[in-house]
Amino acid sequence: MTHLVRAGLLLVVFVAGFAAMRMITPPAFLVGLGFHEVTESNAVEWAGHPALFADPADCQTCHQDIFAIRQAGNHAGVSCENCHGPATAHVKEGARVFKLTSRESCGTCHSEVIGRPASFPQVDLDDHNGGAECITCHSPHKAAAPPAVPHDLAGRSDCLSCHAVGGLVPAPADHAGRGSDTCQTCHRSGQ
Amino acid sequence: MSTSSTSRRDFLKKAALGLAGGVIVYRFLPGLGARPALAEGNVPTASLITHGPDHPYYGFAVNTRKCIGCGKCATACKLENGVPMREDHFRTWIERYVFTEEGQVFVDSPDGGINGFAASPLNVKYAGLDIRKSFFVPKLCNQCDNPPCVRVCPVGATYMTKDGVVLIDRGHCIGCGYCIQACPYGARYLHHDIGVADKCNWCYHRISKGLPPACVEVCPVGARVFGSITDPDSPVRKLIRDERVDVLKPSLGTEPKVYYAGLEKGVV
Repeated sequence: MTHLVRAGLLLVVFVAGFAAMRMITPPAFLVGLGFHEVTESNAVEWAGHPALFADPADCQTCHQDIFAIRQAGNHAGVSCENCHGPATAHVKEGARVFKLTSRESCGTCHSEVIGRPASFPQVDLDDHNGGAECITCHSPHKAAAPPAVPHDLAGRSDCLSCHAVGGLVPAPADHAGRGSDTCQTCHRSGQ
Repeated sequence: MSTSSTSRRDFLKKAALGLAGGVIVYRFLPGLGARPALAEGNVPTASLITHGPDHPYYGFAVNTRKCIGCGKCATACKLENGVPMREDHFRTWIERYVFTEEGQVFVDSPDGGINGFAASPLNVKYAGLDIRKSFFVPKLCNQCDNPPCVRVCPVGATYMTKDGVVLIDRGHCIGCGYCIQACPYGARYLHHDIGVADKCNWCYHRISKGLPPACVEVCPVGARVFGSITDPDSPVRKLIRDERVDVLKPSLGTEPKVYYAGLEKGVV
């Protein structure tokens, strides 16, 4: 049995030695030989990288009007950089930002997908006003659905007679130039 | 049997004493097993943490009830951190869980969910199933308080900072991949271009400047929150107070620091 005791002792020495190597900070001369010692400098190096994404508050500095529209609408919690990309380069050096306006890009969030909470606004893009860009009817910053027509349309074929921009029940300014025949493309009865 | 051998009773006594001694040494010798434990259970208890308001100790929370699987987080992460657009390189990704009425569970993550799930090849299959419930689970590095990846690194290239983030020293990583195997959450990957291990670091370069991680910044529905768990007013502490929370794979003892609201049995 004594040969096993010696082997057992050897095993204990190896295990203790390995544990000590892992736990005890190596002295400087070993670090010089390449034995690794964790220092703060690597964390400082990671912390020093520049950030690419900014914050909507940075966008507000110059784009107050659009920011105000967004704040009042359903996209208030949606960062500008979702559709316009990382903003730091734009803020610092005036780099161009992009604008995601395609149906697919709106559909990234708003298409009907299994797994989305039922309360989240989503549509079947194949059924919903196919072909046109979503922003034709839905302002991307205000992010609201075009209001449904609350009244009967019998005998009221000329929408502009009441709803001209500046009329009795005026349409918003961005509707200038649109003819009566186009209104029902977006404004549906009782939708 | 030789005359110098111990009797069975003596052997059992010595073994029991040795075992007891080993347990005591393991639990109380600093550096081996005695860490300032984050908490019993899954919720942080500030009194056990040796940090205060001036020394943040970061945590993360994900609300799976809110996630819409848009993939903006994964996109922003890759842009912010220069992660290659390869399909096997993700610091954060989204999984979709589908539970059918028959009790089956399906998971998919098309290209990590980076382009959303509208074009997932499994949508056709799911449309024909009787679905009980389905939801999205975003995943990222849990910055575990008992990290298996740190434990196994043969050169000590990965470590935890004082503020609770596990970082990789790229200068010392040899790219052996042991940490990638060790992580039970699949959070690590081998960076193809530079040959070292890489993983989410909660945008350490952003949080050190007081900015939130990029994924938290862009999430359109606020499904991801970040903050210091030593600050009772931080969004993370608030979510932990307001929601029923759990962590991923709690039985493994990794003590993850990403708290999930709305997990279900069957989510791995």
